Amino acid sequence: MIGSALRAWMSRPTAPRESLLRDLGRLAVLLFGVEVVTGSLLALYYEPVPEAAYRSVGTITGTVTLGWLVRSLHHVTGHALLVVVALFLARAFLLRSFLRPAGRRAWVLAVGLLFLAIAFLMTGSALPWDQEAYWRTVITANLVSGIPLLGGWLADVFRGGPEVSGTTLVRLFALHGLVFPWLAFGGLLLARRFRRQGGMP
Amino acid sequence: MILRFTPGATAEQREAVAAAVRAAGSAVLATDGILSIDPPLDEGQAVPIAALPGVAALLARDPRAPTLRDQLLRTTGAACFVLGLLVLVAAHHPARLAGPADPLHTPGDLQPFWPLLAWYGVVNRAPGWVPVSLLPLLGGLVLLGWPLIARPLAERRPRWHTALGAAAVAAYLALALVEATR
Repeated sequence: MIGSALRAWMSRPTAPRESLLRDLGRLAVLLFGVEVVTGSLLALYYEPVPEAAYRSVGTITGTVTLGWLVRSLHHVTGHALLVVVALFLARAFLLRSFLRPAGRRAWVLAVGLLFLAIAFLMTGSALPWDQEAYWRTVITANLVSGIPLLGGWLADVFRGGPEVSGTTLVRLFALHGLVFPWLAFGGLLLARRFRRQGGMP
Repeated sequence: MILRFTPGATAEQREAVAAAVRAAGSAVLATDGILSIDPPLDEGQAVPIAALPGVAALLARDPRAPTLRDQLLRTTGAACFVLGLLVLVAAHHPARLAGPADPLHTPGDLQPFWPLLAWYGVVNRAPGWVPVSLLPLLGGLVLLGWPLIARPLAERRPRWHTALGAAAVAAYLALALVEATR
């Protein structure tokens, strides 16, 4: 009974859809899903305290079974997500889909998602709290603080004080693991809505 | 619902079948030997129409349309391919872990992460009178407001619009590359 109902349901004709490999919106959703899963696994072991962060990443990389692969997968997928969002925007640019009213809203959303993907990478790359991550955070904070009007405020939010410290690490972890994922989730839901309205390329 | 004609069906036979379907209250769309019928005919209407000369078959659905099973298989296959590719790249380029953070020791080769490299390059190379700190703010605003700013250009001169975009991307990549190989 259930089997035949399932077979009938699976045999339903559907509208032809573009392949996942060509549909950058769905590809971005898939990559975001990979980020959520791998990020959640990493969060089981990660400790966002300066003294423990480096050690915990070392444990993930060296001791936890396949921890190195999960960490690398999280790292690689973050970069891939940024590239996919940038390609999505490039396609909207080339197809000039922003000339339609629905496309205009979709463009603004895609630019927002691009900035969010950059912010994800920026905050995530600081979390290992190794020498590279620490000094990269210092440079980024200095670059951001130079922006007129918003820069000082943004750098303070980013650092949690006048200089990069343990508070910075806690802030970056909170932004990376709590705030940005929800923003991205909301953005992707909105993108799905725009797509149904015909705004997304 | 789909109606398929026999290969030898004449134009008159096709027209008579289409008229019979319309008379049954459904709309028809004719495409190379196939008649799409919407809404589908019920059994009482379908049997006499299927018996008309020139009709090869009357099918409940378009055999060319993908089913949910087809779509699921294709999507799962593509997702597995993407995941496999990511795992392969991740396995060949594992994320590094340098020594513990030391605020007292500044490393020699300081660089921000790659999306900010172009901006860092401009900051390092631009002459003093260039307001480099304004660039990211301006860049962000231009990108956000592009649909309004570039509307006349995109509508009247699409090739110039494309060339402008390509030039901007090339400049960004060149700056980032120069900074990365510094």
